[in-house]
Formats: sequence, C-alpha cells, structure tokens
Amino acid sequence: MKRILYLLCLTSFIFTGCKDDDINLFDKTADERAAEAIANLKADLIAPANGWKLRYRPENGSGSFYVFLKFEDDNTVNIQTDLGVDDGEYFNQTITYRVDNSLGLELILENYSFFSYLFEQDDATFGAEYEFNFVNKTPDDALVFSSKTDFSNPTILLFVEAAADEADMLLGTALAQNLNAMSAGLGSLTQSYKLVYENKDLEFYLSLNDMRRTISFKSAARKSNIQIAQAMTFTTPYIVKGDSIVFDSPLTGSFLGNPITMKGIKFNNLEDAELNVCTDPIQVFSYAGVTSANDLVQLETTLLDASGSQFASQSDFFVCPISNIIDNGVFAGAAVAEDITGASSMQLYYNYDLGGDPFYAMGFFIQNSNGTTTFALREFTSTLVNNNLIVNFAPEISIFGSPTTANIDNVNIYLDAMTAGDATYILEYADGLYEFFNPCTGWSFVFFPIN
Amino acid sequence: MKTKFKSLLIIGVLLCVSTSCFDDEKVSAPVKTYPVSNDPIDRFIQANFIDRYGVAVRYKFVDRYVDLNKRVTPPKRELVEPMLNFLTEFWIDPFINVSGGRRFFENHVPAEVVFIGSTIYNADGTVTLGTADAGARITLSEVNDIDPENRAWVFRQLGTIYHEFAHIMHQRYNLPSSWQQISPQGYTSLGSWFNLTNEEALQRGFVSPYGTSTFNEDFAEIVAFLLYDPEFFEKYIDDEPNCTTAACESRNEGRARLRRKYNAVLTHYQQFTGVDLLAVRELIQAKL
Repeated sequence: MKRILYLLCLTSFIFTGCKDDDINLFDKTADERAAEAIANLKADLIAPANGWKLRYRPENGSGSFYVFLKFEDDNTVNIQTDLGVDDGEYFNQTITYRVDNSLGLELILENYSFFSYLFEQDDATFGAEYEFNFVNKTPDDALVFSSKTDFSNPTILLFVEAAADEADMLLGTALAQNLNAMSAGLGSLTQSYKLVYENKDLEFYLSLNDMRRTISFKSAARKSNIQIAQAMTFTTPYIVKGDSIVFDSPLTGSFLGNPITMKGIKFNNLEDAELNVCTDPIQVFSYAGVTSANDLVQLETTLLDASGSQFASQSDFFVCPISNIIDNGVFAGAAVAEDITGASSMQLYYNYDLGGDPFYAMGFFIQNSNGTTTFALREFTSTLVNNNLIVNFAPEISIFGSPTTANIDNVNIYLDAMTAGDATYILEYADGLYEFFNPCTGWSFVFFPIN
Repeated sequence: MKTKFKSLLIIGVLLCVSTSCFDDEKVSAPVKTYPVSNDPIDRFIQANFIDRYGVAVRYKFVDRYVDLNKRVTPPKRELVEPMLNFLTEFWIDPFINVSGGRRFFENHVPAEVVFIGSTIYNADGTVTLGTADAGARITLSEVNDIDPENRAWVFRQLGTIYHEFAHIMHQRYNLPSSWQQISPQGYTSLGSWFNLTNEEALQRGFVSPYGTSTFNEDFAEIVAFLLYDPEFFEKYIDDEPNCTTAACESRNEGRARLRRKYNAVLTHYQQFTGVDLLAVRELIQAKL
C-alpha cells in the first residue's frame, strides 16, 4: 500500500516537474537566433568606412600579401591586392560574399577571386582558402577568422580596420607590374634575375615567385668575372610593401669577400636594357633599387642560372611530357601530337649508361596505335657553358624499339626549336624541374629527372 | 482496496499525460522565405532557366554541392552569363527544337545545374570533369576556361552535359532491353576502366574506356558521343573497308556491337520520349 502511494507521489513529481521556462529556454527560435548572428557579423563586416586590412599568409613557408576588403550591404565585397598574375586581374575585384551558418558562422567568398586563384594553385594543394569560419571579435574590434578548408593547422586571418589611403601606401601594384614586364621581356617560364651591386664587385643570381611570395638566392658571382662564383641556397618568404620587397628573414653572410646583410630591397626606376644572345637583341628591363643596407643595386633579367647548370647532377635521364612544351607562352602539346602521331613525351639522355660509351640523345617517345612503342632519338655531343647547352647533333634520327608510322622527320621541328642558334639555356623552374629555354625561338621544354 | 488504489494510480498517470502538453505548442514550423535577389546574374537565371524550365543554376559557391573530399573553385562572375548562353545554345535549343523535344526536355531536365570554375580536384591527385546526382543535378567544371573556339573544351563540356542528361533516361525508363547482352565480356569496372586504351575499348564495342565501367555509363557515353562527336559514324559505326590486319578486324567487330547499341539507343529514346536523337545531333553539329 505504502509503496503504491510513494509511486503515485513520484509519478506526480515527474510529470509536473517541468516548467514552461525550461522548455522555452531561449526567447527566439533557433532560426531566429542564427539569422540574428548572421546579421550581426554582416553588420560588423560592413561597418568600417575604409574596410578591412588583412596580412594574409596562405600557408606556412609562403610569403604574405596585404589584402584590403570592403564589404557592402548588397552582399558585394571589393578586394584589393598586389598579386600581379594574369595582367593584374586581382588588383581590384568586386565579387559577392555570403555570411552563413553551418557548424558556426562562416564567411564565404562566392565568386572566383584572388583567394580562389591562390586556392587553385598546385592542383589545389596550395594552402589558400576562400571559405572562412568566424572565430571571434577581439576587444579592439578586429575580426578573427580561420580557414574552413585547411586539412590541418588552419590559417588564421585577422581583419583589422583599414586606415584611409592605407591600401594605396601598402599595395605594390606598380612593383608587381614592373616585375611582370621584366619576366615577360625574356619569355621564359622561369623568372631568373641577377641583382647587381653598383658599389661592390658582386652580383646575386636569384628567382622570385610572385604567387608564393618567396625569393631564392641561388649563387653569388663577381661582376668582373662571373666564373668566380659561390653557390647559395637561401630562400625566404617576403611581403610587398608599396615599392619594397621585405624579407621575412634577412640575407646575412660573407659572399665572395663582401659582408652582406639584406632585409629587403626598395625599387624605384624601371629602365630599358638589352640581351644580345640572338641575332636580334632582346628587349628586357633593369629595375634600379637600394637595399636595406643602402647599397645601390640593379635587378636585371638574366639567362644565367647556376642551378640550371647543375641539372646533370640530378639525373642522366629526363622526360618532358608533350604538355610541358610551350611555344612563346602557348601550350604546344596538341601541335606536337598532330606532327608526330602517338608522341607522348620528349626524352633527354645525358651521359646515360647503356653499357658502352656514355649515351647522349634527345627526341620523342611514341606510343603506336598497334600498342608498340618507339624511341625516335637524335644523338649528340654537347658543351655546357654555365647553363648554356650547346648541342652538335648526329646527322640522322635513330629509331629504337618498334617501327612506327609516325612522321619521324617532324621530330627535328622541336629539336630545332630548342637548340637553334646554340641558345639553349637551362633554368631551374622549380625544385627538380628544369626549363630548357631558347630565347631566340621563344620555346620552352620543362623536363623532370627520372633516375 | 488494493484495486481502488491501482485504479487511482492509472487515472492519475493518464491525467498527467493528457494534460502535460502546452496549448501554444505547434508542430508546424514557420516557412522560410528568401528575399528576391537583385543580382543581375540571378535575375537572368530566374527569367531564363528557373521560370522557363524549372532548372536552377548554382554559380555562387556552396560547399554542399561538392563532395567534401574534392577541392574546387567557384566560377568567375563575368563568365557565368557566357556559360549560360553556351548551355542554351548547345543543350536546351537543340532538344526543344526537334519534334517532341520541348516536352521531353521540360519533363526530364534536372532540377539543378552547378557551375564549378576549376576542374574538380580529387584527393588522390586525379581530376573529375563533371558529375550527375540521381538525375537531379548536373555539375559542370572548368567554367573558367570557357572558350567556344577551343574544340577540346567544347567537346569536354558537351560530353559531360549530354552524358549526364542521358543518365536520366535509364533512371526513368531502364536500359534498352537486352542491352546487357550486346557486349557482356567487354565491361571492366569503376576501378579499372582507365587501364584500357581507346583502341581496346572500340575493339570491345565501346566508344570510350569509361563506357566499359558499367552498363549505365556505356549507355550515357554512346548518347554523348552520338550527339557531339562530328566523326561519330566514321569512328564507331561504319566499318573500315578492306581490312588487312587483325587489329582492323577487331575494330570492325567492335563496331558491329556498337551498331546494335546505337540502334537500341535511338529506339529507346523514340519509344519512351518520342525524340529523334539524330535530329538533335543534326542541330548540334550545325552549331559546331
């Protein structure tokens, strides 16, 4: 009996223990609260009169960009950068954005922009992003976002309110355009420069990567005799500040007897120059500047590349897929496939061990329609002067493997394009990739080592 | 007495249960409404695709349209309208301008077309050109590379559109009868089709290595090639004359199988939709 009474009391407590307040803990529905949070973040984004400044480093090891973003109430955002690729397409863009909620608040840049350009680099493995998770608002009203698409160590983005005219002061669009002009002048894929000191018997050979914002010093040489050289392996990320390139880490050390500390270079005048390696001079540029140590310097386009001259130490066998053949900036793979039916790649044998004399040859690897393969190669002897490969071909093309119905004579079209005028220069395009560039024909062939 | 208390207990419980709901609780949630966009591209899509055919074109990036393990970029704004015009010219117009085509198109068009600016980068380093989800959505990549003068790009896009649109046919009406018996030994799998060359696929009776992956892909590939490939008949239907090699004879054996598939495809469309695919092809080829 008592037990039944206890049960009755307990049951009554359970069923009457809930209050209206506990069920309606919030005075708004989940949708209303999400909409309010979205509206609040959007209000924050559009609030600054001059928009936001972002110092953006897409991934560890890359350099940084200043980015200026001005959000508007109509869901558009104006993005200003100094990324010089594609003729300055990303200097000033207006696209649409969306503040949304998923697991939390997020900011999505809905159309292609500077951010998605970087995201797509290296087959979309470069660590950039165009979707951001909102993290918090700092006490001084900066907005913190994190990458939504980084697999690990997500990039943190700090939006700081921009001052008036700050974009004009920090963005180096003129510098980017001048560097574009310098690289376009030569026509090679690899941007190879030398930095010549006016008051020292010293010049550095270097490359710049505008997208990654890194600068690599590859060697130092005497101006008076470039055969006296010193190899270097110094690479640092940088950021552009107006007319200056500012290194993340300074270059320090003694180079050919010259003590050097360089934290950056401030550029001023772009001047005309000429390269005389072909019948007609090639119009290039020289960019005058001053280092952070107040040394006057000239940045010049060059065909010399100490790393390129070392290509043979990497391998004795190189392959260049036909998709890596470029005729004056235009991919020539389709033309190659039409000229040489079944050609899939170029091959370069350089001091290759075939069991007898060292084998030197270059030509095409052909996959025939009947499933067989053919190697159409022209043997050669060569001389390497710095990174200038001078080739003396055998009179005929040799056929190895199976017979082919492909037009073998057309192999010479491409061998000539590479070697005409003894002007084949080997430039290190990227780590382990070598561009065989002929400035007189404008053709590039990008090889990678196999062995 | 014991029975009385038991009855009281049950009555009490029932009372509590029956009165424990609040009056103001409703099961119907408010319907979400979205403001009409003033974006000129959105308005163009509304007028020319949503209102006209009931197909929404998504060009603003939304990550749920793409698998989480794939990496893509959105299209460039200035290229969206040219791509919409490309779709109209090469997909909508050829279908709606043949007999019975308008009804077929309006009844079978997928609800969504998604534009991707880049190629679709897979986690394993490969790329995907386009996808379709259960006939409800077609995803087109490489919109940022739009170039109607570039035949390789045009054929890639048309191949994707026609291929994915063809899947809707077998999803609605199954494959043609006895389809599976035409070249049963020739199929590979979704994990191995890429080991085949074009030549080997043709010898097996397929227009492409990908067609060998499943019965459905075989069907969709033949429809796509039939519509866009200017040399469809020379390559896949008409026998090579005066064969003197075993390879040539094998290719012709493959073409014999392809002729059976080709006839089955034409009949299937005619029977279930009234659309003459050859008439559609003629309109497409006139534009290429």
